[in-house]
Amino acid sequence: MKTKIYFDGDSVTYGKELFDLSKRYSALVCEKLNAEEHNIALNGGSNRRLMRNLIDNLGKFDMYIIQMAKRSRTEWYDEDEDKWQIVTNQPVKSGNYDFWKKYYREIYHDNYGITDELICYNFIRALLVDVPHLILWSGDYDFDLPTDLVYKKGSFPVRRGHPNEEGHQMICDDILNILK
Amino acid sequence: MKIYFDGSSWMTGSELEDKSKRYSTLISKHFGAEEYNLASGGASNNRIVRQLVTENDIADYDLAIIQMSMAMRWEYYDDTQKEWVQLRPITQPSEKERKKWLRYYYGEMYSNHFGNTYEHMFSQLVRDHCKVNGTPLILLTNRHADGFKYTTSPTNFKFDLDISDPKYPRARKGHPNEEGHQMICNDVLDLLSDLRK
Repeated sequence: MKTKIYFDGDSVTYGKELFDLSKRYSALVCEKLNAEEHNIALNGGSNRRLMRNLIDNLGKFDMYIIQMAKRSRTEWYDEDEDKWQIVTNQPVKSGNYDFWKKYYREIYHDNYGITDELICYNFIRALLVDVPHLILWSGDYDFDLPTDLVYKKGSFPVRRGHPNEEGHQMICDDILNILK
Repeated sequence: MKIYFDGSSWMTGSELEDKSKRYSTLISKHFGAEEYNLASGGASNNRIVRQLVTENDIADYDLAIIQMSMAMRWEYYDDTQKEWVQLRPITQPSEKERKKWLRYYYGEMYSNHFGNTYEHMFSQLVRDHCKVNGTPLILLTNRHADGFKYTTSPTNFKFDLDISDPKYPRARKGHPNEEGHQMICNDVLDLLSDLRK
């Protein structure tokens, strides 16, 4: 039976800006390892979403590769639409625009985001302590948590801010190097 | 022996004239242990998790007894006051606009589905964080403490003890009275005794 690998993250892991999603790093890793890819990453995804998804998917996969998202993002549950809505600091599509605009202008503070990020990191490590897993981070602010891979701005070639095909290949190679 | 306690007003001993009768103190006395009680009235689960994961090293403790609070509560960091502020439906923010904002949150956005999901997430984190650090945990909840102020729906998460069970006698404003605290202490001691078997 094929190894099943779980991937979660935001647009980086989703493969935004790629014309062909079979070139995203999750697909490349799985192709190389002859594994089954289960990628539930979402553009604009938050660390809260990662934690929620992980609870739902614990014990179902042989390996977990999780890319932490921007710390300022969050989510809320939309009962009318029966779905979780992503919230970014440009909450145009999040629903309740005025509410979230005020949240980012007056309520959200980076101390909150940093704390939330640390909670998420510990959450992933604690839940997956006995399961093979890797944590990645990609972003453009100072980040010092001991994730397995860190991609700061300029770490890989991009197209509109997201890794291009070459960038995804680089991430894939880095993951395979760790898994060796 | 050092015991780590965190929770809300139910763990601070609210409404007790003599705080040494609160269950955290009774349990600590039973073991001749040092009591580290970080609980605070109005505490959210976010606060409990923040204190556990980012501000304390649970590996330094021999035992953790943590009481999760109401799912509806949350917190934010107030940069002007340099402090974390606990939010709940009855919070009265001084500024009118913020009050409107909070009313909108609880009226239009908060749902039991959201609350239950996050309660589960935070409770699981508490359990697993203590486990990986090798600290035995008793996980309590008072999620049904006040059905008028806080809406709840059933959860699948398995807490060790629901201390909002009406079998624990309460004081006038709804917190456990002395007898209630003694009963909670006894039940926690029973759970600990099961844990050691």
